Amino acid sequence: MIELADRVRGLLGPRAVGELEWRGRKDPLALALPASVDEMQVLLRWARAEHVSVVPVGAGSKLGWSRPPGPRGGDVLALSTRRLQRIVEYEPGEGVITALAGTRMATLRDAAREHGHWLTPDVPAAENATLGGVIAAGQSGRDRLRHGPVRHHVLGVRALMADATLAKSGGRLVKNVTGFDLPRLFTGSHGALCVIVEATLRLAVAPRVEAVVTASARDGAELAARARAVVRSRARPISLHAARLDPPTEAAQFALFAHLGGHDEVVRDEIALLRELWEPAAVFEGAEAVELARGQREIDFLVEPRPWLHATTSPESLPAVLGALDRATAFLPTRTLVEPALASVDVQLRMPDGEKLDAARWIELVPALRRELAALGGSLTVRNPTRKLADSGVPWPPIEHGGALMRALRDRLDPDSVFARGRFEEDL
Amino acid sequence: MDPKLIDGLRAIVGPAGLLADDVRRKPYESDALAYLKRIPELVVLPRDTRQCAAVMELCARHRVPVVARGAGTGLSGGATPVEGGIVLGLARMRDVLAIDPERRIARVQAGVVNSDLSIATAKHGLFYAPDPSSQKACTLGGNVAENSGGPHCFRHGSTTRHVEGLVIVTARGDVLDLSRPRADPLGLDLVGLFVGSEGLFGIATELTLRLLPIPPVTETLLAIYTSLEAACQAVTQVIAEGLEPSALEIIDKLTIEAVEASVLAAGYPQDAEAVLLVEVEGSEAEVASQTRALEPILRAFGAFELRRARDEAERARLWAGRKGAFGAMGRIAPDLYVIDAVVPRTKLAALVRATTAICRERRLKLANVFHAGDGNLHPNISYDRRDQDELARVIDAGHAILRTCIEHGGALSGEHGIGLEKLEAMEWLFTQDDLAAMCRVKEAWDPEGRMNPGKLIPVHTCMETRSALPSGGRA
Ligand SMILES: Cc1cc2nc3c(=O)[nH]c(=O)nc-3n(C[C@H](O)[C@H](O)[C@H](O)COP(=O)(O)OP(=O)(O)OC[C@H]3O[C@@H](n4cnc5c(N)ncnc54)[C@H](O)[C@@H]3O)c2cc1C
Repeated sequence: MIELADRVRGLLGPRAVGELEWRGRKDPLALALPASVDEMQVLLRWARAEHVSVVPVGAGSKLGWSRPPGPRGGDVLALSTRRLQRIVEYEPGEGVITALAGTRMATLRDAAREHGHWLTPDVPAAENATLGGVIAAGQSGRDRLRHGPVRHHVLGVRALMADATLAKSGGRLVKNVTGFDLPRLFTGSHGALCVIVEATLRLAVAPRVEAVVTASARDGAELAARARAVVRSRARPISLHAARLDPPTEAAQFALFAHLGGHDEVVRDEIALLRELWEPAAVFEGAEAVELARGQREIDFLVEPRPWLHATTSPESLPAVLGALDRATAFLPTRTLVEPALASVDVQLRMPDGEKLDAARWIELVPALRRELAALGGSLTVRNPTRKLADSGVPWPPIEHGGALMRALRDRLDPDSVFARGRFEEDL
Repeated sequence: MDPKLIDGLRAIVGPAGLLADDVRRKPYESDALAYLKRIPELVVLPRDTRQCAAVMELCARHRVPVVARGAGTGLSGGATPVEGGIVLGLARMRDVLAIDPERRIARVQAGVVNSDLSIATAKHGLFYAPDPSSQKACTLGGNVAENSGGPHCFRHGSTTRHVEGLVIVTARGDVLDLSRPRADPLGLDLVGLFVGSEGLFGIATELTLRLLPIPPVTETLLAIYTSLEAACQAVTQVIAEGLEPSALEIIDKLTIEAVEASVLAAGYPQDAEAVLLVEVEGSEAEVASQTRALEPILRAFGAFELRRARDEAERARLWAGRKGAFGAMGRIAPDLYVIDAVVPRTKLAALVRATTAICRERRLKLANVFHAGDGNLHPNISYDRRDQDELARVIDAGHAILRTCIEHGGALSGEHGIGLEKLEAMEWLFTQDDLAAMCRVKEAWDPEGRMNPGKLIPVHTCMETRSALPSGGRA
């Protein structure tokens, strides 16, 4: 590891070397911080020749969302895009923004906001998260309820391939079917196929007015029913989520939040509608609403590197899945966030101070819980697992279909395994 | 073609599913890009995924190329038969398999015609958003293969945003079941990658598609202009101001004349140089506020009249005129070359001007009807294919238009795909390295290169990629 750092230093100079703590891995990784695409190419060529595996990273905040790079043999070098920071093009009239991969999401969000645009995905900790990292992790924002997942918005990508060539796909146009949709392939590819060095996102229109409507729900069933009422109505909230109250009361287990936005009269109409549907509901408007929505977006555990369970299911089985998660985690304090319209649930596992997650217990618990959820049409991953848990492989569900094709894609795009394997499954 | 293969295929699909004689193969000689044609050796029409897989498996064993075909309405030669290959038609796979109104998804076979899906889901208050003008004929499988668009994709996005899952039969005849919708893909996004692959990766046999609620209120406006450029500028401004109509379509004078002279007469004003068809949908409040914001912009750029469709019948007429425009152009000349290019939306007016000049220089008759809101131009050139000189000028104009679009930051296709038509132009837009990445992706799906060979990516770039593989192209 020290040796690897020295060699990178030799190639790119002293500023280009660091260290990366990778939750779920024993030792920190040597980290290369090239200042340009040219330097990255130098590094990739060198890595290929020297059989060093490269893991592309952004700021490193979502590394625990997929498997750590291959435990088997060889040196692993993290390659960060974080020094590639620049908005390459933003023509407000066009409604798209192009930036280098290391550009922070907050920089993009602020630039867009100034011209009446809304950056989607609206991710937490945008001051830290990089554009490339968000795309590679396939991270959608809570605003996906209105705007759709991140994979719908990556219009173009420039990426360094394993042979150090720079390949462009898509473009800076809102509509384009010229060539295969490689931006879709690279979104959510967790660094397994390429280093994204530049990307173009479609922007949404910023709401002229925002409001937040809140209400409570007695239990999972009422939560699902209240969410359903909104989704079935004429309202088009930006986001809709629920947090479990801590501590819950007899009358209320969850607090629901609907973030509304748009033209003044639309928001007014939707507030009136939600008041009716969620009776009794509280309404926040103006700066208060913006602040509340921000606070909800930044809920700490989505940002903190603590383990959490991420479950998805279908809206019908949401109450049952909530119940199953509850029972399985009853022995320790948790925090729960629900996106009912997407039928996804995140449960953060909060160890009492000084206590550690009992990996052995979780290694048994996760597959059992996964089976239970599967029977309900759901699935389960563990994000930010501890090392022992990560080593067991149980945090990530096996790929049911298409694994052979994914391997073939990998083998074609990176025949020499320049990019570290094992991010999805062993060898993949 | 090997008689053993023919017998084997007949055993799979039955005699009705195999077209071997000249007369019945003839209609498959081209898609809607009529100047490229070749009669296929054989047409095979499976009924379901299982039959399709068996057909593909047999073709793999005989190393026979396969061209998938939906309805053959494609405009880039995607379904043009290839030498020594069969055409695998999905026309007999027309079942809507399931509609789940609660989850707002439908599962269909790939041969279901686009508009049939919205008809089937209407009773649940739901519709399928992508609405190509050919929607009464084209198949949903063809839409997936082309990542098709339509007027309302301005708001709702092209086909890819509406595909939640697929069942794919691979080149080798394996069934890849990616039909279960999930919030995020497990592993790589194979479904997303497949959409727009123009028949080069495999055959989509079953599709899981997202449905949307029919909006409570829809308002259709027709803004009438004395200049095409002014209409373009109005569109650019509507977008710059962050308004969100569901469709923004421009129809120019020549197209208006053709439509008004046809059975589809929509009541477009014949003294206009261009009309802008705008639709706004949503809740009452949303439609009211959007319309109020739109009107002054439409007028500021010189709309001398603003009409509002009074009822459903008038709205339907306005749209029938728009969607039937290509067909109506048949009145002007025997053939129509529909060009499809995309440009930045801030540059619409400049590119429409350039296009007009290109056609004028070549003495060609140009009409424009296009998805202005998305920057998706459709310069339509009418010609007579029997006139070789005119055909040459048409193709030359097409090239000149594409090159101009590229110079202005545009691309080769917004919705009709590359196919055979724009194969050579791929090298104008992409470098060898860009194309090499695409070749590798293609090879992962189809290592023997039997799926729709010779389309979309110039063959020689793939050959160069192969020889550059460290294994010397072995794999
Ligand atoms: C009058 C007219 C208007 C049109 N308007 C529009 C428009 O507004 N927007 C738009 O986007 N397009 C439009 N088109 C183009 C065309 O209708 C679309 O591209 C449509 O999606 C093609 O569908 P199809 O079933 O006819 O496919 P085909 O033409 O049969 O095939 C198209 C391509 O898809 C492949 N393919 C077909 N089915 C499958 C499958 N199941 N699996 C894998 N590959 C498959 C074929 O190999 C071919 O490459 C128009 C065409 C016409 C003639």
